[in-house]
Amino acid sequence: MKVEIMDYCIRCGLCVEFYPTLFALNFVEDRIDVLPAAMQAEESVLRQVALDCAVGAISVRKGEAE
Amino acid sequence: MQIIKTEVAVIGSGLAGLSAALVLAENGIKVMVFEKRPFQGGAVSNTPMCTMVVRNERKFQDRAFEVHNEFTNYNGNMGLARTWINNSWRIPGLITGLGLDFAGKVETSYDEIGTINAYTGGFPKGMNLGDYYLLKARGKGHGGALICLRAVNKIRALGGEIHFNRTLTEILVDQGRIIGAIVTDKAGGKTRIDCQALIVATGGFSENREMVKKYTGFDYTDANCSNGGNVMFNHFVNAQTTGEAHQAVWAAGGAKGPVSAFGRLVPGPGIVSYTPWFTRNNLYTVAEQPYLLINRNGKRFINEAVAQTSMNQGVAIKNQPGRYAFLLFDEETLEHLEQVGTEYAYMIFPAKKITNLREQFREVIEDQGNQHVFVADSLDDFSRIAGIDREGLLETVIRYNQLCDDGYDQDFGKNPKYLYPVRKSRFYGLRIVNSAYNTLGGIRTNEKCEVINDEQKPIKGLYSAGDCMAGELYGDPSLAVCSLSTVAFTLGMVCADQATAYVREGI
Ligand SMILES: Cc1cc2nc3c(=O)[nH]c(=O)nc-3n(C[C@H](O)[C@H](O)[C@H](O)COP(=O)(O)OP(=O)(O)OC[C@H]3O[C@@H](n4cnc5c(N)ncnc54)[C@H](O)[C@@H]3O)c2cc1C
Ligand code: SF4
Repeated sequence: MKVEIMDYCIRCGLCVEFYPTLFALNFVEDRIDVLPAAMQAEESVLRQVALDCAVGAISVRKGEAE
Repeated sequence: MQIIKTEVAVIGSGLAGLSAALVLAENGIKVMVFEKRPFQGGAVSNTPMCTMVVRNERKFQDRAFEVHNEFTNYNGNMGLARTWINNSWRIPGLITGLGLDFAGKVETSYDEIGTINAYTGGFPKGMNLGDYYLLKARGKGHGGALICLRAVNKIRALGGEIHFNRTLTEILVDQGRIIGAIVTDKAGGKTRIDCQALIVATGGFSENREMVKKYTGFDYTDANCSNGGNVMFNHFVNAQTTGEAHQAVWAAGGAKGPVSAFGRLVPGPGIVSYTPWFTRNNLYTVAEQPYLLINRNGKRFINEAVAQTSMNQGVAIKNQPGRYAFLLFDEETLEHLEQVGTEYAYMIFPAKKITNLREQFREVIEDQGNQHVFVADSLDDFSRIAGIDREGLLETVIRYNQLCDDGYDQDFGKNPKYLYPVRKSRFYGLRIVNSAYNTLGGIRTNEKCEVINDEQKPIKGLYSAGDCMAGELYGDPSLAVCSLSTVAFTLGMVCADQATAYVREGI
């Protein structure tokens, strides 16, 4: 699956809080990093992850990670 | 230098800035928002879970105004308070206009204005002025985030522009009127904005340690309290709230106003998570219970039942040596917490019966290395590891236990139902420091949200709203208050009304 963080992500850290193996805070670049494990995660988990985001900034699509 | 032109420039894309920009765009004014961060919403964009609205009825507005003035001892800017109170009814329309709904509403009856009812624990009575609208959120977030995102989309749809990664660094004034501003990008590149009006809505400056020290007297500390400081800010880490806009307003001739930062929090790892409203265990809830509170001299200093209003307790803690305090209770009280339950259950972190508390203390101390949470077999040990004066502590505990036995708190008048003696080993403690969502205030305005100078004359075309100026409502010296979204929403809209009239009619 392809997981991306949209630019309107508010860096609230909810995704990191709930899914620390999938996302990480990147203070240097001021963004949320998608960890490699996210690309391998079950589709159902990723769908839930996307639903949990406060602003719908986690995009989950079928396809290979770049 | 690049030059761009607009009628009104709004600085900051938090609730205040976006409320202003939205109304301006709806009014057909050419508006551009300049935001320091790469995204909308502000340091706290995901946090507000409810907002307060004073009903649009004279009787309710008059009562709220009276309560506010009594609370501030007629020391705040009363004209501005009236503007806020009389305009807050516009908030629900602003939110529903974004296609969003509320998760619920808790009404405050006329007689309840200025009291603490079940819902409003946490705030001083004088801050409870209206009905509470619970913002509907998406996923595991809070409603403020969605409001900000929708606002950005709507402002753009109405022809407004949002420029991210642009920090206001200078305000340009000519003959007492705004003519523009300079914003700086991450690489240091400058852009001049030519505009007729400028709205500064840039929140607090909690991450500027020098400014925090200078204007609040506190020493900033991070979540680990690793520098021994005594104030924490309960917002997202790396909020980058460093106060450039305050400095630009002051440099442009704006007067300096009071800055508030009161509340209380247990510092250190393992208690509050990165996302401020997620607690990792029940220790935060325990810290809110009305058990024995002492300072580092071992002395008791307050009726601990005031813990229900965290800002009131915060101001008392501020007055203690080192500006911190310790909550102390014994094994029997711990058993009470586990078997009977808490005295107060603050609605954000509800936990009636707290189970597994010993393990929670152990985990935070041993696994997380938190140096502000203590467990000791004796009061001697407790005084040593917590750094409390031993004689003072023992004297206080003997006195407090006597008051508990008497069932009457002769010293501070605490309700006898909260008098739990401190006798049975082990002893549990939490160090509590002051905290705030952000600093509140610093920029001064009049009742029209126009920024004023030391002579209290407005700088024409310069307005301000939200956390950066809300201290003005409460007066100087600052009161034990905290930031409220109702002020940000409402005064943001008022700035837009004023800027619209100014741009259209020059008034
Ligand atoms: C944990 C927490 C919980 C809260 N819960 C509630 C609640 O339940 N109810 C409630 O009413 N209130 C609550 N609040 C308070 C409320 O969220 C704030 O009062 C409100 O969001 C402040 O909005 P603002 O627009 O004034 O400031 P901010 O949201 O701080 O926005 C200011 C914006 O300006 C930008 N900025 C700063 N300097 C510059 C510059 N020089 N140039 C350009 N941009 C700049 C910042 O990056 C930021 O985006 C809470 C706050 C916190 C932290
Ligand atoms: S939960 Fe959503 S908005 Fe929050 S940090 Fe993660 S991706 Fe960004």
